[in-house]
Amino acid sequence: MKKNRKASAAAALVLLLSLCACSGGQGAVSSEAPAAASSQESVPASSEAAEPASGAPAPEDISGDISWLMRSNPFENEWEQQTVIPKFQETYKNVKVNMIIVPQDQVDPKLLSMQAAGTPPDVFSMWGDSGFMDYYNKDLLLELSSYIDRDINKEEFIDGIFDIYAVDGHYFHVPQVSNFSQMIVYNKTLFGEAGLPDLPTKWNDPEWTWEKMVDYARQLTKNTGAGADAQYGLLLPTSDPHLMLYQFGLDPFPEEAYRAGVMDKTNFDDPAIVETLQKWADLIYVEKIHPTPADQKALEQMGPLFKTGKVAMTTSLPTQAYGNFKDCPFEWGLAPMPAGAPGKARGILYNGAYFISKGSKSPEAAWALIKYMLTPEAAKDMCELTGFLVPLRAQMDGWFAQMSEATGMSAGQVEEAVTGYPKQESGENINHIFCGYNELRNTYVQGLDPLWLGSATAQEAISGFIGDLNSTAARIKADTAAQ
Amino acid sequence: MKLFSSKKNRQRLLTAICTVFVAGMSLLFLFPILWMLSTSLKTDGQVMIMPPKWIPDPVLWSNYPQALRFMSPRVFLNTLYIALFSVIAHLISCTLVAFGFARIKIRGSGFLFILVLSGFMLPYQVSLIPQFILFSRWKMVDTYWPLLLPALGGAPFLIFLARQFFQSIPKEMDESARIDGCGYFHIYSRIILPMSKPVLGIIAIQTFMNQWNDFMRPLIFLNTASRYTVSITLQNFRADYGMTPWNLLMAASLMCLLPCILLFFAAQKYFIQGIVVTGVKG
Repeated sequence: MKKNRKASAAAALVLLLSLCACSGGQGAVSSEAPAAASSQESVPASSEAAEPASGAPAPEDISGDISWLMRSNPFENEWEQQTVIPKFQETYKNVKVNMIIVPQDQVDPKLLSMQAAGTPPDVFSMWGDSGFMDYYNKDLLLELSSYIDRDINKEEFIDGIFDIYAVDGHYFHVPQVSNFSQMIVYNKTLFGEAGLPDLPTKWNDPEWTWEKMVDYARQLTKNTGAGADAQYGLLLPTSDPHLMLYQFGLDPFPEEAYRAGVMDKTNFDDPAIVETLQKWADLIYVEKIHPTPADQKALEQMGPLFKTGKVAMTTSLPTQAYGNFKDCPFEWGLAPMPAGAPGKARGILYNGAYFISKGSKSPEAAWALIKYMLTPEAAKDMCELTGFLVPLRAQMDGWFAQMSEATGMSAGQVEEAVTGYPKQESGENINHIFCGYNELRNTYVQGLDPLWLGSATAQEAISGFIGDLNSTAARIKADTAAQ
Repeated sequence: MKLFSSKKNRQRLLTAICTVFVAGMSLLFLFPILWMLSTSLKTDGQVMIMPPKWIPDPVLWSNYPQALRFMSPRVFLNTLYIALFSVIAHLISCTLVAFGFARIKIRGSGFLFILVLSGFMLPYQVSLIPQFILFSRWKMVDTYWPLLLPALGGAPFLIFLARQFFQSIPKEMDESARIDGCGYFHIYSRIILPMSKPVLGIIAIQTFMNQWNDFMRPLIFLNTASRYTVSITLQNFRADYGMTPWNLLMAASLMCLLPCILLFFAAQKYFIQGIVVTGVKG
C-alpha cells in the first residue's frame, strides 16, 4: 500500500510539473492587445531569381504563397479579402495571398518580429509609426527600380510621386496612396450661423492668414468651459507643432534632417519658434478659443473632436476628412493652411507606399499583387471605399467629384484647395522621412505638455526638454550610421 | 405620522425606498450597456455629436446585419467550440486533481498543492512565451491546439476552489462507499461529483467566460482569419485616425455579449455563488 502511494505521488509530481508548464492563471483576461510575437507558416515558394525576369512573366508563370501585412479597418479589410484577393487570384491562379491584419499601433511590432523570425511579410506599407527612412536604414526593403522600369509607366502617376522616397535615383517603394497635404477643415454650418463666408481655396491668399483665422475663431467660440455646450473656434494639432510652425516660415528641424533623415540637433529653441508656440498656447488660456488638453482628452475618446460639431476649424488630411466626416450631420469644407507670415503657407504631404521585403521568397508574386493594386479598377474601388486616392492621373477627376459631393464645394474648388500648395516649398511629412521619428516626437510632445497644460511658458517648456531632444537626435544619428 | 406608526406601513415604506434605490443603482450599472445600444443604432456621423442624443434619429437596425458582414457566424462557432471544449476539459481535469488533493493523503501532497497554487500566482502572460516556443516546435501555431491543450492541465485557481469544496464534504461518505467496495474513482464519480454541483457550475461558468473573452492567446496563436475568435474580430473593427465605425463596433459587441447574457440568466444562481465564493466577477 505504501509503495502504491509512493508510486502515485511520484507519478502525480511528474504529471503536475508537466501540466504546470501548460496551464496558466485563471482570472480576468486582460483586454490589452499584446506585443505581437507570432510565427508565420510560410510555404516555400518556387525559387525565383533575385533580379526580376527581363520581361514581365505571364500570370500563370508566377507562383508562390505571399503574405500581406495590413492595418485593421473593417471596410478596407472586407474589400481586401472579398474583392482584391479573389480578383487578383483569378488572374494569378498560382499565387496564394495570406492577409495578416493587425491594429495600426501593432503594425511595427508585428513587422519587426516577423523580420526577426526570418518570415517577413512579402508586401507591407507605412501603417506603423516607422517610416520609409526607418525601413530603408534597417535594410528591410527590396529595391524595385528594375521592376518599375519594366512594368510601370510613371507618366500615368501624379508628378513627382515616385521621387518622394527615391534614394540616389533608386526606388524602394511604389506609391500606394496620396493624401495630399494637411489642410484646414471647417464646419460650414457653424460658419453660416455666425454669418461668416466660406474660406478661400487658394493657397497664400492674402485674405487667409493666421490673424484672420484667429479672428474667425473668436467669433465662433461660445460657452467656453461649459462641457458639452461649449463651442470652440479652433483646434490645432498640439502633438505635431511643426505643422503650424511651417506656416510661419519656421522649421524646428535643420535642413540636413530632410536630406539624410537624421540630425545633430533641433531648432526648437529658436526665439521665433518659442514666440510662435507661445502665441498658439495663448489661444487656449488667454483667448480661450481652443479647447484645453483636458477637454480634448475627454471628448476625443471615440474620434476627432471635429465630429462633435462643436469645433469650427481644425486640421486634417482631405482623404481622412472624407473618411471621418462624410456622414456628419453638418456641412464641412476644406481650405488651405493659413499663412502665418506673408506667402509662407506650405503643404505637408502624406504619401503612402507599398514595399516588398528584402527577404521575400516570392518577389515576383508580391510585385504582381502591388501592380494589381495600382490598376484603375482597384484604384477606383479603394477611392470609393476609403476616400484615399491611388495617385493615378486618371483617378483624380473621380476623386475630386467624390470630395465635391461630400463638401458641397465645386470640383474646381476642391482641386485648387487640395493640389494648389506651393510645390517647391512643400514636402513630405517628417514621420515618413526621419529616422527614429517616434522617439523624437515622444520627447518633444512630452516636453511641450507643460505649455499646453498652461503650467509653463513656451520658453520654460522648451528649456526643459531641448537638451534631451538634441541628445536623442544625436544618438539616433550615431545609431543609424552604425547600422 | 400616524401613517408610519404601524409596523406594516413602516415596512412598506422601507421596501419602497430600497426598491427605488436598487432601481436607480441598476440604471447606473446598466448605463454603459444602454449607451452601447443607443450607439449601435446611430449613423457614424451621429455617434460623436454633442450634446449626446440617447434616442437615435434615424434608428438604424441595419447596423446589426452590417456588423455581421465583418464578423461571420463562423467566428461565433469558433469561439463556442474553444469555450465548450475548455469547459469539459476543466470539469474533468480540475475536479480530478482537486479530488486527489482533498481525499488522497500522501507525503508531500501539501508541497504539491503549493506547487499547483504557484501557477495561479504567475500571470499567464509569463507562460505565454514558453508555450509559444513549445507549440511552434510542435507545428501547432495557427491551429486550435494551443488554446485547447492547456485546458487539459486544469487551472490552479479552479483546482483550489474545487479542493476546498470537496474538503467540506464529510469523509464518512467516502468511508461508507469504501465499505461497499468503491475505489477512489467510484468515490469521485458517484459520491463527490453529484454533491458538487455548485462548484461544477462555478468551474463551467468561469471557464466559459474566460475563454469567450480571451484575446491575447488567440491573437498570438492564430494567424488565419477563418480561425479567429470574437475578441480578435472585435479588435479588428478598430481603425486609426478616428475611422473606427463605433456604431458597427457597438452592434458587434452587443451581439458578442449575448451568449454571456443568456448564460447569466440560465445559470444566475451559479454566477452569484461564484462571486460569493471566489470574489471574482470574471
